[in-house]
Amino acid sequence: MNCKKIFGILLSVFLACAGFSTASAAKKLNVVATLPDLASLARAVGKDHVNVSSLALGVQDPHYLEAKPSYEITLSKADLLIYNGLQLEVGWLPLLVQDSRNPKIVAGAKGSLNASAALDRILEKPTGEIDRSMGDIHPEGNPHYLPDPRNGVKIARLIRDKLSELDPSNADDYKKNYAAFESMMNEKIRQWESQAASLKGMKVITYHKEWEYFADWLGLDITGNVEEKPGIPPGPQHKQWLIDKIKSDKIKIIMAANFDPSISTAEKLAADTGATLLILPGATGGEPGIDDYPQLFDYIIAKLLAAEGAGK
Amino acid sequence: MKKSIWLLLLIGIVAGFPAHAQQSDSTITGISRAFNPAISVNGLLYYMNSNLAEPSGVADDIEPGIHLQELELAVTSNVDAYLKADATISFTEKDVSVENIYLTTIQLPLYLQARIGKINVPFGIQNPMHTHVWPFIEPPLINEAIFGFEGWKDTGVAISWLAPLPWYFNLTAAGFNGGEETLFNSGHKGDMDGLVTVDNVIAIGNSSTLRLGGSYAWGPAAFEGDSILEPKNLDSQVWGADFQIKWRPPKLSRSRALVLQAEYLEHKYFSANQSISDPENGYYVMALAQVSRFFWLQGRYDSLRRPDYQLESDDDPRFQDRGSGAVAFVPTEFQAYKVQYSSLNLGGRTEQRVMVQVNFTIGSHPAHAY
Repeated sequence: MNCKKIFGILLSVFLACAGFSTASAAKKLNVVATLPDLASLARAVGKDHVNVSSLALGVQDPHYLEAKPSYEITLSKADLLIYNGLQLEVGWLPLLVQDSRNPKIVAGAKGSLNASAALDRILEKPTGEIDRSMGDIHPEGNPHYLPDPRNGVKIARLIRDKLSELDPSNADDYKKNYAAFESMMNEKIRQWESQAASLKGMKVITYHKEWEYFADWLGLDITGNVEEKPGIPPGPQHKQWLIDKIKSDKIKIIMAANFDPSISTAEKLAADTGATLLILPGATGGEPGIDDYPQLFDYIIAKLLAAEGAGK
Repeated sequence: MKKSIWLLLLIGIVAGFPAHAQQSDSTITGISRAFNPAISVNGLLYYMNSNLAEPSGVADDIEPGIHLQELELAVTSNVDAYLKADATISFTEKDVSVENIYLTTIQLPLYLQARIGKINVPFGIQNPMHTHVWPFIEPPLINEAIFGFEGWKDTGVAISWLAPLPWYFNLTAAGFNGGEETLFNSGHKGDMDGLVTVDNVIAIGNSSTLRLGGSYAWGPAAFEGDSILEPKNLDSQVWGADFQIKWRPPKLSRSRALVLQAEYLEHKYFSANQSISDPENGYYVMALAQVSRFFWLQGRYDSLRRPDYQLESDDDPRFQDRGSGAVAFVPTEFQAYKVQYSSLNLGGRTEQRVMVQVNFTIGSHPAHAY
């Protein structure tokens, strides 16, 4: 087969697929979120006008997704990419966006939305010199802000504005959907805060620095992390420090996300101290029955209250 | 050697620079530092011991003793709204070379991407990898025999197209300068070689992927054998097929994984569409298992069949095969330690090697392809 024939065949396949792509373009906006919580917020605001998918599953550690080619396919069809930001996805998202060959979602394009832009307060932003001897710290601050539902409302508003910009013909619907979501969430937030009033001031240990925003919201006092430094498992001295701390402060609960690695370390710590290890879903879809963002808080608060009650 | 030392000093200065750059947004000249590229340095050190006083076989780029295998300086940044640039400079104990310098488009429509410059040629799975992400300390025998120890890197243009299909189907067509010494060294300036690759990756549920790929490269070449022919009448052709299954359960994504991978490669010389040499061919199969958060167990079998014109004497074995086993300890993303044993069958002799490799990265290193 000569080169002309090969070129002809390749050109035919290319044109056929390009035509197929154009013809099958859906009217709904294709929204791809990096995290399931962000996908849930986009569904709540976009409802019938959007097709939403999430790259990470609720049971996956969002720091360490592999840049799978199937994600490139998903991103190649996106009209809007919503990402967490604060460098949570820095290890995999830039490569995926580049190789998705979708100009709509490259950094700075209309279809690229950094959800952290909605926040008015970022916790644990490092000051001064930083380097990797301090563990996997994020130079722009703690990126695990979604476990505070008040942040979810702010991000939903940002999504409303972005969807309205990309799809102005349905802007009124996005406005209505957001208003309904905000109202529902504000009611739920009041309810959760009331339910969790007894948790205020409760001292806890967390596995990773992923519950800081949650604790900040409900007034929990995180007195230490199982990890010695972010992403670094505890050494013998740190383990002993944790045991002493749990005993001296009478800490009853160790919180971990179900995608945290080396959970056995936290299990041993709980066994050695009598504290309760709560392995909680870290995101929407993290456990069966948690199908949207509000259900995540229903689940987590119920578990915390049950553990607190059992510890009394 | 002196050149290497000066360049290493330069790296130290460049790598240390960003830490100070964070203190202020601009230099005393008023020029902004905010747009400095991401810079990283990867270091590979190894120890090797062999049962043979003079280690032989194809894999002779690794020497007994403790050595610097490679120090790689990588720089990456968007050039503007349309292009991204990547540069990699490689330092070894014997050489300094520009391993990569290329531009990648970031705004092309129709699922197209173009890359221009010196790149790791996207032939199969092993060849495009940088040294520090190789699963084993040495490349497979067949890759080294055809493309050289460091792999096939060349200067040219590659255009790839991601088909809008339900699965990942990536088609790449490329033209290169023909500078590759063992493959396309025709001796005529201006000669070009071509490459076509097809890469399919199918997701099987949320845990697994199946990859099937094929690559074909051709170009004018000088025949290495006794029958010297005019390069303009001679073609060198290489084709390869690759297969990979990856499994990583989402719930245990940091502690469990399994990779099964195989590649077959074949190289021949042609004149007027007639083969004028025996094929040089071989394959490898390997399995990598992540058994805990920090440990990997790895095994590989690879085989090489060499053509007559490469055999230097009657004792020179036509067939070589090798079995390798390795344990990798990966405490963080930024450092890894590998202990590897391999047994290379050289016909009447067997070479056994024990190797230890230290791998570290500092700075902002871009993510690697899947």
